[in-house]
Amino acid sequence: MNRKNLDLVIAVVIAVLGAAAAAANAPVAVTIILGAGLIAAPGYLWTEVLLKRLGSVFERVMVGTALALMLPIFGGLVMYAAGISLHRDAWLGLLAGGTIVGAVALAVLRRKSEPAETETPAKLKVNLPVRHALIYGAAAVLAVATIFIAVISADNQSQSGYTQLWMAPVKNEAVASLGVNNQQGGTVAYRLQLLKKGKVSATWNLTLTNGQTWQRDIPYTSKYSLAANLYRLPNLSDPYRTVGNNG
Amino acid sequence: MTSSDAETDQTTELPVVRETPETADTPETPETPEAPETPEAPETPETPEAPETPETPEAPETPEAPQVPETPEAPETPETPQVPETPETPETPEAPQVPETPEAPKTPAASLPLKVPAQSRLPASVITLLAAMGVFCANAAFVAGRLGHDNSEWANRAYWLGQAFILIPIGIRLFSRRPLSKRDTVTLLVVLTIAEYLLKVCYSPTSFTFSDELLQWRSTTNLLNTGNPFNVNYGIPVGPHYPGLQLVTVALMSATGLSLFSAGLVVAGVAHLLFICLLYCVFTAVTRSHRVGAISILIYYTTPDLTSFNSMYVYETLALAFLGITVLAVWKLSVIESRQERVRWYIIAVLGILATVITHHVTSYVLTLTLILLAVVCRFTGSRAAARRIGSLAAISLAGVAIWIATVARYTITYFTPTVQGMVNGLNSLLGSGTSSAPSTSLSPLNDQLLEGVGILATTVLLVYGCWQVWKAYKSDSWIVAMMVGSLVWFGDLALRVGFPDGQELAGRSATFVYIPVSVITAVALTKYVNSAVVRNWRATAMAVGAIAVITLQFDGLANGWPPYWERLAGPYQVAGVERSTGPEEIAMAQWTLAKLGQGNKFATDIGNYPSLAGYGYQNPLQNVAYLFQSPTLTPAIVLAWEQQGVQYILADNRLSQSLPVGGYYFPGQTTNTDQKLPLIDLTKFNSSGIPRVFDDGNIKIYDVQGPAS
Repeated sequence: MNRKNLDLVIAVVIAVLGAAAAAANAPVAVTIILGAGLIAAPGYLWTEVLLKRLGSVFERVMVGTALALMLPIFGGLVMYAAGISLHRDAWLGLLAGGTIVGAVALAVLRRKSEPAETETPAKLKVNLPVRHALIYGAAAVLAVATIFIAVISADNQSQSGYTQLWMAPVKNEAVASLGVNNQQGGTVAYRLQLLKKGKVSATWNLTLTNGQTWQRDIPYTSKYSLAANLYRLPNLSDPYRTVGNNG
Repeated sequence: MTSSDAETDQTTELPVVRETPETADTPETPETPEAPETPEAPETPETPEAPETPETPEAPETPEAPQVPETPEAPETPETPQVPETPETPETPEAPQVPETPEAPKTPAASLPLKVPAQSRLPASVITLLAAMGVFCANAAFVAGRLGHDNSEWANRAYWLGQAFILIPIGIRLFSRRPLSKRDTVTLLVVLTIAEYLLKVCYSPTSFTFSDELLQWRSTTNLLNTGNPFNVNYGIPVGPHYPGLQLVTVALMSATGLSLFSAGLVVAGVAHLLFICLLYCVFTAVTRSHRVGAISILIYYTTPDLTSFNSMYVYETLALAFLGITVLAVWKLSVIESRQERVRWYIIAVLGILATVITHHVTSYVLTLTLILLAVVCRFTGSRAAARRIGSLAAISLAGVAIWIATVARYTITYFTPTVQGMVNGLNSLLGSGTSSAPSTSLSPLNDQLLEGVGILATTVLLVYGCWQVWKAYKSDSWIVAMMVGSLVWFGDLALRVGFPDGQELAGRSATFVYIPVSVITAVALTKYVNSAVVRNWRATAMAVGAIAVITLQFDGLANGWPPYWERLAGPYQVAGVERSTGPEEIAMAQWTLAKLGQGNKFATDIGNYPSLAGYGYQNPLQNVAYLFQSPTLTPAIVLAWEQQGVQYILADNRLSQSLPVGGYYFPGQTTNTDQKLPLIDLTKFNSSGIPRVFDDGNIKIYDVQGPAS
């Protein structure tokens, strides 16, 4: 293996592994890492093709990132124009294909180019004292902890509970969807009464846990009044929720 | 790290480089035309010995005398020429840095026995840790808000303390007289960008809540579900005609398995960071100083919406990154000599242009205008070859925009017509009667208004001073002159603010672009001020004043940007707000509408539920529906009006009667502030009118007004 093309081989291997992992529905922890490589690989290779290690590392990283962002745009539109539906397989093919084509182009370019042009890549040297590395590490840990706290906080944000009641006609059918969804934060007992022309035609006693939904289709017409009253037990005097076409 | 990355800039002086078509300096070549700053030479900016002709090195800008009273032994050295390919000087942050690469030509200043000023006691790593503490502190304020303390004074102070931890150390370090390597400069700017972005994430860490993000979320969901990038989006009909953001997000989701929300955060974050880094590269190239470039970025951070709207999951965020890469490539095109290299950067510029055109309308127009401006300025400042190259890119950009609108995005014309008409009407109103047609807007607290006034005044003064300096000393430098011309739009922006309907919002949106040249010219002004003879003996004080001014402007940008004061902290539901009107209850309702009513129904609703319905519900909420909710009874005229408007469902949220709207008005399309609470009867009148109610969750009730009962 020619060492000057090692980067090229690594990029192709990462891209192929990334595409394979995504196609095989590998665990997300795996697909995130390999998928990031799959997204980045074409950007890196095409930057090498276009810039041939011109410019600073910083500039090449930026150009590579920009090209990585551009590939799905141009490639996606070309695929769509070609009648390819933009689903996962198409994207994986595009990214892996973009990487392989870039690798081939780069290999050909390097073979053709003068040795002097490929000999002196600007290498990224990291000269970071341990003390500073530890401080950066502490900052990263603190940032991750902050995000974690934010997510926990948002998930547990105190909010007033609610219960959804609905009676929605199903289009082109003489039925309506009647349903109840409990989001009160705990188990709640309800009584649901269906009224046809003002008279109770059906009653259901429901006990729903938090997040649970009860629903069924009922015959429905707009020719006569049809309503549903939901009571939150034990209060049976005032409807807790009301829907229907009787006002 | 290359030598250019390790370059040390000990000065905030803006060197003058004369650009000529054939001998323009490149990053790879030393800046030989430039007269170096020699400590011995007196500064004589006003003297006639300072020739302004492009061919001669300019004397007045170069001779920076030792202006640092505390360290007179440390003369200012010119910026090391960027020589990326040369062996680098090992960067040792703790050791005094010699800013010269071995291959760098010996300039008068460099040949002097240098006694480099001591390293800063505030290294980048410590500043990074302080910024992380700032994020932690501000997030603590968000947590407090979610726990119900959103109006408490101490929570608000905790937020600003967090911002202070982020902004002040970075500002002080960049303005400090201590040596600062290019790597540390980049680190500081990356830290600043990431810290502010993390704060944005901490505000809404589990789902998109800003209206525009929800609308983009809808477009992306449609692409995921159908494989078609051009699906209709009722909330933002023009959006699907610019599908760049959606294509990138779905590709990332497919490759990584991330959720849409996570992938969206990654795409927006990467694009935003890329934009800032590219802007820094351009600023550094234009000012020939990475320190001045970084100060320009600090000033750009005073843009009101930079840390919010411009880093959100919206198509402009991604397009800005493409604009940045295009401008950087154009800069390279205008300075490098090798034809082969120019071709390579030309390809990158064309790709950047096309990506911008596909991704965001306004950004592509601004890019086109920028290229035209650069080409014209280059033409009149002597660099005809560069002007031709940039002109051809401008033509490509113009053609790209025209073709895209003609073939894919015809709706763009319809989309912008009301805005243009509003501006024309506003202009007529101003010219005809001398009065503004701008509506009254929700007033922010007095402190924020004062800060805004001071910020506008300070920026205007610095801008005028900067333009004067540019005209005086840099008028043969195409890019600086182009920046100066571009910065004059600032004054148009001010007029827009006060004279036009939606002027505040338009000015806020346009600030993203207007502040780019304004930042550079303002940085030039600050640099000249710090280096001016008047304050030479008090340079440390002058730099401190400069740092304080910029940091104050940044706080102004945050205070008067987004989120507004009334939802600065995360917290519980607010009436007719934005982020805080989008909670689990509203999202669940919106998802119910999609599941049970289908997509694209025309809804009349308040401004708080509007984005949820359009985004999560994939409904078609209408503008100008206030008439439905502003009377205690339902009259035939109201029924006739909604029938003519094609309303299918009315969503009445009883919570509207509980308080005044935090944003100034209750309903979409309203332009004047409401000063009276909405009576409950105005919302519940539909109950007794025989209109079928299809949904009720206690707060939100949805009425079906399509049936005969209505």
